[in-house]
Amino acid sequence: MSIDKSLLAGSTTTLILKLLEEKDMYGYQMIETLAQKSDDTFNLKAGTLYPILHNLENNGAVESYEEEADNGRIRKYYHLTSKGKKLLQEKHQEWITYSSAVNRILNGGGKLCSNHLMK
Amino acid sequence: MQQPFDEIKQYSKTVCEQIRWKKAHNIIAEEIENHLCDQRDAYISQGEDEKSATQKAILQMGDAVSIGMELDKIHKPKPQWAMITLTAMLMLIGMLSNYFIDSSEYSLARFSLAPYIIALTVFLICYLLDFSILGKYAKHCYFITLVISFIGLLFSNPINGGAWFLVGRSSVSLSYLSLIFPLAYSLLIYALRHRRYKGIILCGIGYIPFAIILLLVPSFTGFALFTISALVVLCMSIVKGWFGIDKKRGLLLVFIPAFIAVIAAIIYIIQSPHSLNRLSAAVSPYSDRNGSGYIYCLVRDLLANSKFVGKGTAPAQFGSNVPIIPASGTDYILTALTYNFGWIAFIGISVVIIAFSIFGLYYVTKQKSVLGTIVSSSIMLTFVLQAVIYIISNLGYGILSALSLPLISYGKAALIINSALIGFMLSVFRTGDILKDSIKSPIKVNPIFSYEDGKLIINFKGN
Repeated sequence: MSIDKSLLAGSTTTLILKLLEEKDMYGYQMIETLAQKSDDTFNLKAGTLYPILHNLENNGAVESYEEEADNGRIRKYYHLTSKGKKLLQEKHQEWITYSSAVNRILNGGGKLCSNHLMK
Repeated sequence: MQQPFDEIKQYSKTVCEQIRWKKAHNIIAEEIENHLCDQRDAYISQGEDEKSATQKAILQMGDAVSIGMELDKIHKPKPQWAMITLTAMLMLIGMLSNYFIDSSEYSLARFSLAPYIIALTVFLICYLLDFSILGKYAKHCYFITLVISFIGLLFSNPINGGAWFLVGRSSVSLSYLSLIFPLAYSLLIYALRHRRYKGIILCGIGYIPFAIILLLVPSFTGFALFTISALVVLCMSIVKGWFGIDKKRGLLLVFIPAFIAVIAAIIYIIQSPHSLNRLSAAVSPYSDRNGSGYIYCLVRDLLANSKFVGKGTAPAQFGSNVPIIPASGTDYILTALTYNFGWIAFIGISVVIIAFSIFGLYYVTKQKSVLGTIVSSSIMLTFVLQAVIYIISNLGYGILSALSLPLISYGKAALIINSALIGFMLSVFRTGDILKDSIKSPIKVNPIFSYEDGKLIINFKGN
C-alpha cells in the first residue's frame, strides 16, 4: 500500500539517518534500500532525497566523499558523523513520543496503551 | 529526436539553472546524472527499452525546477564577513601606524599609499580566484616556488648579513620566502598524500631544499617558521589518515628524523659563537648593554617607560635624547607604537590579531576537503607564527628576530605576500564547502575498446 506523501515527508530525515547509521551509501542506493526494507511502502523521490542530504551535509550531520564504481561512474557516498548520530537519537526519540501519542489516541485514548509502552 | 542521454543532461541542466552559485553546478549535475543513469539501468534490467527507462527515471526523480530551487536555498558561498573586517582592520592599522611613525620621525614623503593599493588588489584577486587550481597544480606550485627561490638566491646581494633581491630601486629580503614556503610545501603534501609511506619519505625529501635555502639566506626565523608549519601540517595529514597508513608508524617516521635534526641544531648552536652570543644577549642583555644586548635593552627600557595612554617618559639614562630603535617600522613597530601612543595601542593591535587567529583556526577546523584544510591551515600557521615571533621580539625577549607583523609592519613584499595568503585562505573559507575529495586518484587510462551510449568506441590514441 502506498502512503500519503505528507506522512512520509516528516520522517524522511530520520529514515535517511538510520540508513546511514548502518553503512555509507550513495543516493540511489538509499532509495533502493529504503524501498526494499519497507516492501515498497516508502517510495522516496530522488528529488526529495538530495535537498535533504545536502542540507544534512551543510549542518555537519553527514559528510560526503566520492568513489569510482566498477562501471567508471563516480559515486558520492554519504557518511554519518558523530553529530549526525546524535541527531538520529533525537529524531528517534521524537518519533517514539509522537507515534505512541498517535497510537494512544487511535486506540481510543487508552491510558493502558501508554502505560504499557512506558514499561 | 532527442537521445536518451541528452534528456538526462537536459534535466540536470534545468536543475542547475535554478542554482545561482555556479561553482556548485558541476558537483550537483554529476550526482544527479549518475543517479538517473543508475535508475535507468535498473529499469533496463527489468526489461524496459532505453528510451522509456530514461523517461521513467526522470519521472521518478521529480520536477527539475523545484529540485533546483530547493538546492539553490542550500548552496550558497559563505563569505566570512568577520574575517574580512578583521583583515581590513589589520591593513588599516598598518597604514595608519606607518604613516604616523614616518611623520613623527622622518618625513611624510616616505609614506606611500601605492603598496596598500597593490596589496588590496592582490588580496581581492586571490579571494575571488578559484583556489582549487592550487590543488590541480599542486606539484607545479612546489617546484615553481623552488626554482624561483633558487634563482632569487643566486642573483641576490648580501645586505646586513642577509640575502636581498634587488628590483630596480626596491629591494626584497629573501627571508620573506619563508612566508610562501609553508603553503608551497603543504601543496606538496597534498600531491603526495596517496603514496603511503613513500609519500611521507618524499615529503621529508621535499622539506630539505626549502630548509637549505632559508639557512643560506640566512633567516633563522624563516627557517623556524617554515619548519614548524611543515611539521604541523605533515603530522596533521598523517593523523587525519590522508596517507592511508598506520598513524603511529607514520608519526614515528616524521618524529625520529625531526628529533635527530633538533639534536643536531642544538649541537650547532652550542658550537657557534654567533648563535650563543645571540642567545645570551636575549637572556641577559644588560651584561652587554652597548654590544649585542643593545636592542634588547632599548626595547625593554622604552616599554618600562611607556604609559597606558600617551607618549612614554624618557628613560633616565638617555635624558631628553631618546634614541630611535633601528628599523622600527619593520622590526619594532609594536614597541615604537607602545612607546609613542601607550600600551593601549599594543593591546588594541593584539586583540585584533588574537581575534583573527581564533576565527581563522575555527574555520580551519570546519573545512571538509583535504585541499581546503591543508591550504588554510598552512596559511593560518604562517600568520600565527609570524605574529607570535614578532610580539615576543617587540617585548624585548626575542631569541628569534622579528620577520613581519602580518599586514601591519613596514615591508612591501611582506605586505603583498601576506595579503595574497590571507586572500587565498578567505577564499577557502568562502567556497571550501563545495570542494570534494576523490578517494581514488583521478588518473584514468582509457581502454582501447569501450562501450558508451550504445556505441562501440575504438580509441587509437590510448589516452
